[in-house]
This record gives sequence, structure tokens and C-alpha cells, in this order.
Amino acid sequence: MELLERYIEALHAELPAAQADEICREVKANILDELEAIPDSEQASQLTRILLHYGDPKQLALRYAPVTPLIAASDMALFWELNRVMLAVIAAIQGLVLLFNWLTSDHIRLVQSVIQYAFATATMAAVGFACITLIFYSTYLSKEGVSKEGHSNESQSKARQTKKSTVPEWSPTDLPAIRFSWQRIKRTDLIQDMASILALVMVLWPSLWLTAPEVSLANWFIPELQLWRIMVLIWCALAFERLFWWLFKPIWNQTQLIITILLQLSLLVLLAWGASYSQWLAPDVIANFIENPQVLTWSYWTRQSIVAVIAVIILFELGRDLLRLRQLRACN
Amino acid sequence: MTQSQLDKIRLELRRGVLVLAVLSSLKEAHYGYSLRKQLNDNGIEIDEGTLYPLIRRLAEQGLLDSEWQHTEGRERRYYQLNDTGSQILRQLTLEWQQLSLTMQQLLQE
Repeated sequence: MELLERYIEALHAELPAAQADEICREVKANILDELEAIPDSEQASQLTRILLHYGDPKQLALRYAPVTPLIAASDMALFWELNRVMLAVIAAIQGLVLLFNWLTSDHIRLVQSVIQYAFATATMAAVGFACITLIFYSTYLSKEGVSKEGHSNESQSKARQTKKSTVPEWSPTDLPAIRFSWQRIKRTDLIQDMASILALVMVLWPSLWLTAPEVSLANWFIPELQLWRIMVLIWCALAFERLFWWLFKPIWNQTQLIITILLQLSLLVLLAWGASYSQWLAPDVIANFIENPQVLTWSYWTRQSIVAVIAVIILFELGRDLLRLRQLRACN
Repeated sequence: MTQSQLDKIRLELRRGVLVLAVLSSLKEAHYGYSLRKQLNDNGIEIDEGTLYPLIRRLAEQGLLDSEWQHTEGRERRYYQLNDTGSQILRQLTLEWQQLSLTMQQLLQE
């Protein structure tokens, strides 16, 4: 019988505290019933066989109280995708911080910078990972109506059953009509685009990542560019929102193409507007940060060349999207 | 096909009807061991580690009523089908009969 007590003890340790006493009481009663059906002389030797049948206490505990997963299986793909996006964005942000530190310091300490970059990225990624996990876990709990103890909430469960019987959660008609392979948007492209937009926001909105004393001096663009900066930030917000929704439905359709074309055209206008200024950076403000302001004060022609390259890329994408829109319209 | 493969498939086949067999047996009150014995006597072999958690889960789902009783100097938890469980059992029985009919036709072809 000592063996039985040890087994029950081990099972108790593996079960959630709220259920452990009740389940152990029941398992013990069942085992004693099994033993009772065996002649007294054989009980001691047969107990081992019975316990082997019940299995490892850990496995038995899992059968009684299955572990509630943090993430629903159906959400797992999106969960990892968002984590990848988060990591890419954090890596890009930290890359910008690193670049800024290099530009503003007298000596570049490569090893130290790389270690700092790795630690800062890992720390922010851990926080981001925890936040995303918590969001998915709370979504899972609200969807499944399960408490931490693994019990089903009866009323929620009934409501869910009613909902299931009247409104199906999924319908084949919801599937998008794909006529061309390019209509499926790769999530890796979305990640790259999101990281690019965030990098642009970082440059245009320094108070996001600079310390308070630096922020007061951080208006390194010339005052005439204030309105232009705000317009570009609004453009970034619109573009980011579009990319975010694409994470859930990464398909090109006519509406998406039209929105993208409008965004590309507006970016071209913003670029042309920005290029019309003879100077962007305020040298006196830059001097507060950097001993040699010439580092960031690009020549007029360098800046215009960069703007021209960006404009060519946008024009290429604009032309491609116009052709795609034509293809889709021809099919309808 | 090896014997172990066959056993695995047989197990999967039986697992599907296990809930139906348990609910059907619990029209009368049973404690864990007596239920297992009854199922065994009727040709449904099921190990303890599967059956007892299943009964408890069905009770948590509101299909079974349960109470502890002290008999012959021992305590036992008795389970029995309640009204909700009876309704579910009726629906599952209809489902099973239709499925069984279809399977018979398929297997005769």
C-alpha cells in the first residue's frame, strides 16, 4: 500500500492545486476497487501491474487536467509572423540608434557597439515577445472561455454552441479569388516595408528615441520643413495601417491596388515638395549634437540624387501596380 | 501490415465510439471500476488512464451527475447520466445508427 500512497502523492504533485485533492481521492478509490477484485494474496504483486496500467503520474495528470496552451493552434502562424515583424522592426530601430551613436561620437568602438546592439535588441525583443504572447493568450481565453484551471465556462460554452449552430465561423465563399500568382503578398515583403516606414518615422520624429534634453534640441530640420514633416508622418501612418491589415489578408485586389497607387502618387508629390527646398538640415542644431556638422549636412546635389533614386523606385512600383490593376480589371 | 499498426488503427476506430459507449452505460449509476468492468464485459477494452479522465470530463461538461457514496466501508464516486446527457445520448445514438447503416452499405459494395 505504500506504493499506492507514493503513486497518489506523485500524481497530486502534478495536478493543479484546485483539482488535486478531488482527482487523487477518485483515482485512489478506483485503484482500491481494482485491488479488491484480486485475491488478497496477490494484491501486493498485482498493485505494480495496476499502477503500470494507469501510467506515469505526469501523463495521467495531463489527461485529467490538460495544459491550457498560451496560443491557439489556429493563431500560431500569425503569432510567429508578428514576432518576426516585431524583431525586424526592433533590429532596424536599434540599427538606427547604433548609426546615430557612430555619427555623434569621436571614436567608433566596433565590438562594444555590436554588443550593445545585441543586448538592446534582445531586451526589446523579449519585451515585445512577452506583450504579443499576452495579447494572444487573452484572445485565446476570451475565445475559448477557459479559465486557468482548465474548466469550461458553461454559459460561454453554451453561447458558443448556439453561435456555432447558427453562424458558421468559416465559409468557402470567404476565400479570395486568386487569378495571378502576384496577388498573394509575401509576408517577408510586408516586414521589409514596415521596417522601412518605421525607420523613416524614427528620422522624422526624433522624440521617439532621443532623451529629453536631446529632444529639446532635436529639431534638426529647417523650420520651413515642419509642415512637410507632418505630412510625411501622416503618410507613414496611412501606409503602416495598410501594411498592418495586409498581415491578416495578404491579397492584392483592385481596391488595394488603387489605395497603393494613391499612396505612391502622394509620396511622389511629397518627395517633389521636399526636393524644392534648398536645404533640409539646420546646421546650428546639428552642431549641438555633432562636433563636425558637415557629417550630416549633405550637399544639394547629393540630396537631390538620393531623392531621384527614391523617385525612380516609386515610379517603377507605380507603373507595375498600374499594369496589375489593368490585368485585374480585364478579368472582371 | 504489422500487428502494432493494426492495433493502432483499431484503437482509433474504437476511440470514436467511446463517448457513446460510456454515456450509454451510465444510464445506470456506476463508479469508475464498475463501469470499466461493464464495458470490458461487453467487449470494449479501455485502459484506466483513458476511461476515468473521460468520465470526469463528461461530468465537467454537464452531461453526468456525480456523488460520493460510502458502501462496504469504502468510498466511491458514482456517475449517472442527467437530462442534458440523455438528450446528447439520443442525438448521438441517431447519428451512430445512420453512420452504421452507411458503413454497412459501403462495406457490402
